[in-house]
Amino acid sequence: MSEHEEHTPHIVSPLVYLYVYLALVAGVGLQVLASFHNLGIFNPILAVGIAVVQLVLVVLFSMHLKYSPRMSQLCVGAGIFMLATLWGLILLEYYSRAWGSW
Amino acid sequence: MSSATIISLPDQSTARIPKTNYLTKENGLLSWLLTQDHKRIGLLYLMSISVFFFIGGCLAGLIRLELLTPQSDLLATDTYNKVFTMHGVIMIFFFLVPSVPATLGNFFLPMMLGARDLALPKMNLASWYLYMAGGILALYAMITGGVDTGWTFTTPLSTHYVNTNVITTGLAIFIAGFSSIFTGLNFIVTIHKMRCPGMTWFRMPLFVWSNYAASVLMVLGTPVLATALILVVLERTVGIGVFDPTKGGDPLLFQHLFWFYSHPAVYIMILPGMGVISEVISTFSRKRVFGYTAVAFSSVAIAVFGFFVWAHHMFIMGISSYAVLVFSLLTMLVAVPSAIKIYNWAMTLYKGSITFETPMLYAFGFMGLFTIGGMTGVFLGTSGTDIHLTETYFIVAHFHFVMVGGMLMAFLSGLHFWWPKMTGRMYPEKISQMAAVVTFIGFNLTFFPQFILGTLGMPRRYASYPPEFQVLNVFSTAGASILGVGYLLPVLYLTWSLKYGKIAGDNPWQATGLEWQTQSPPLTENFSELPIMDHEAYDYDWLERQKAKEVASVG
Amino acid sequence: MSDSPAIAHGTLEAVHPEHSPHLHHQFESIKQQADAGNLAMWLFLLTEVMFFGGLFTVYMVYRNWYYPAFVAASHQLDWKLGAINSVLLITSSLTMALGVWSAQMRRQGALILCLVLTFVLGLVFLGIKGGEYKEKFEKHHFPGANYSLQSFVNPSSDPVAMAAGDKPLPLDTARKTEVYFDLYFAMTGMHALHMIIGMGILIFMIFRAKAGAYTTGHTAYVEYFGLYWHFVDIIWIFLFPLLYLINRH
Repeated sequence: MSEHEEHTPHIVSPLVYLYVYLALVAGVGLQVLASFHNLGIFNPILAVGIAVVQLVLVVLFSMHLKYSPRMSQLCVGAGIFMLATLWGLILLEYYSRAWGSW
Repeated sequence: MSSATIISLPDQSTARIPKTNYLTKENGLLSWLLTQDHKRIGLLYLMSISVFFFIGGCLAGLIRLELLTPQSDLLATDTYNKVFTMHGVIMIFFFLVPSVPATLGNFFLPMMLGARDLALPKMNLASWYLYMAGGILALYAMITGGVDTGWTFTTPLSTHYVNTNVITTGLAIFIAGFSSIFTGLNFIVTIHKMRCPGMTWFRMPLFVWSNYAASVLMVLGTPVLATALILVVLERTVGIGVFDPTKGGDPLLFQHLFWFYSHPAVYIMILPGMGVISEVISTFSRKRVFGYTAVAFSSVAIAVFGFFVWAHHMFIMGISSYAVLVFSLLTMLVAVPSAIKIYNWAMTLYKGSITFETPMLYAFGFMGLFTIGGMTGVFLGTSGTDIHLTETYFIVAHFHFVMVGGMLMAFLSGLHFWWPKMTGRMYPEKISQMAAVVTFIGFNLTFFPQFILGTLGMPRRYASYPPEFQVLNVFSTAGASILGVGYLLPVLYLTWSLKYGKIAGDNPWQATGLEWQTQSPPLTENFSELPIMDHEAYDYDWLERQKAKEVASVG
Repeated sequence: MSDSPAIAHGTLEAVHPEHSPHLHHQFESIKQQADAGNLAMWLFLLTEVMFFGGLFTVYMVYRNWYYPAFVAASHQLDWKLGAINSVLLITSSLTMALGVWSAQMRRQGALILCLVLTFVLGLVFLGIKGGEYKEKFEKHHFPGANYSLQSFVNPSSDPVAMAAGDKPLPLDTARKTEVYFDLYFAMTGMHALHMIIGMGILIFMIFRAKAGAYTTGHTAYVEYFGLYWHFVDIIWIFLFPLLYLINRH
């Protein structure tokens, strides 16, 4: 079984999970708090920004991406790239429909 | 034309099909229905897509018969709409998308990598069941009233103005989409993780590269189609209004989501075919594919660029003219990697020892027809000419040149190329060469007139047309009947060859791929021992040395 | 391995004397199998990302077009319930992560406890979600033929809208609130569907865990399911601010 042990995946300490958990709950609190203040354009930016931080924490630690094979990490990169393409090009089309009239 | 051939069959008087192989390993219906062997699943796929191709082909025949005369007389106009819709749905989602990857890819990809099986055999079987479920649901939709939106399900036509089986067909495609995702996912994992020792990325056959690119497209694109279809289904059932202009929705958004998948889908269909052509051209020219790295990366480039161009299907539909400009430019970009492939194949032929076996004839057909199909795509990608040509028969001719002239030729080329490996038997050479030529002639006669009809302005998707277009339509219908014969012939002689064909031996074409270095038909675990790749792909000198060694050791 | 002939079997044994019972026939080593499984799972999540990506695209376009309607419609949701659900789901994510850890540590009791907790938290989440749906149905805020504009053209008739201090919307703008609810139901519904599927798998896994399946060194399935469950969590992390917290001030 010694061969076996070598291949067991990286074990993340429960303490890390707990920190991530606390950070996520704090994030939810922050989002709610921020939404009750008028920050203008920064309202949605802050809300999504906090969500992105939460996403990064979950993906890196809870989902072990930090300790995963390179290829699995690349999958996330591909996802970001594809979403950027989908959203970028569609929004480009929508925003340029009324070019100059906004 | 010489009678030179590279076919080398074993001495028929002593040759035998190996007793133990993947076909004889287990018997009985259940051993097929529950198999996890990628080769058997490949055959299951081959049989099922053939059935769907036959159904789709019959529908195509009906379309051409109706268009023989200017009036709508054979079919009522709404029946005609249903017929061309089902023709499109079946041919695209149930034939072209799974054609090469799920049959030949399934069968040979692990063998080319020197693996025992795909990484996820159960998922592979599940993919076939999903395909069948989707296919049967689509047929059910066809029998119980059909659907007449065109294969594109354009909103708000599909959500508001037709009362046919949109939901059933949409769900059928949704399910088939899962099957395609599973195949793609399986291939990606296999190519990354299952290569045998020594099989570096740049020693992989180009067939593997192109299937890899197509798999990436399947995995990334198909879910977005699922989103679009789910929203259409919800719109019809619940009555949500995201694509309904009367409720503030934007029908164009559906098209954005739909074509985000369905444009890359044409590369899902053509890329594996290009892989087949690379294998065939190299084998029958006895030369390494010219510019191997460029051809490999051009597959990847097509996959990447393929995602940036979808809005060229929407130039006349009211998208912003600035976006038209951008998408038109990006569309031209895709022509570059496709041209790289054609040039490199041409350079592979240059000074090669070319022989004209059946797979090679189909491959030549592919090169010519795909080039025409691709070039006319440039006309359609140019926004100015697109306004005139889109929604006419020009576009029908364009994508049939690429899909039928390109992909179907490639599929048949691959099928003839690997048939001896799959079955251990050879098909009759002369009649198969004739079938290739008949297909080519029939194809050109069918679809070339449609380019002219399109430029003259005959719109697609109508059951009737002005009488002055009849001559060209008669040509086209006549060609379709020749084409039909061309497709029926392989069914006949390939079936015949299963029992009566000559014993093919391990490597009838003297090809270099790992799949040829094992017995035909292969063992269930493909290789009796784990192969080690110690040479470059398409290294014919290695093959010669290998043969010399064998002779020496036997002597 | 029963279906492999003697020769191949022999080669395998020679190369891998340890030959684990968890190794599937197509793989050469446990590491290869683990890496392949991990990659497959991430690729599957990638397809899920693209699926929800399509829905978020639709959201993005209409939120930009019909911002006032989205604000008014979003005020109809109870952010407190949304926040509670967020915390519930994040907690279930924690218990799931601890479940993976327990499996890796081979602690059967802890694993079963974690899986059950995850299931229960998911169930409470769905219960609250169901309550919210019910309230929307009763107020005719479910899109379709029975959709009512009452709360938006005449906010004084609706205590929720009053509490949020909404002004009456012009009829044309008010109609667009239906687009918001289209997306609300489509997105949360798809999310809930993923949770239901996940909970079905959880039940199966609880039984398997009781039989001791995951605490003998082969933790792959628990890990893969963990990935899926965290992914479902991530979707909600985005849905919560985008649907519940539009312009609350």
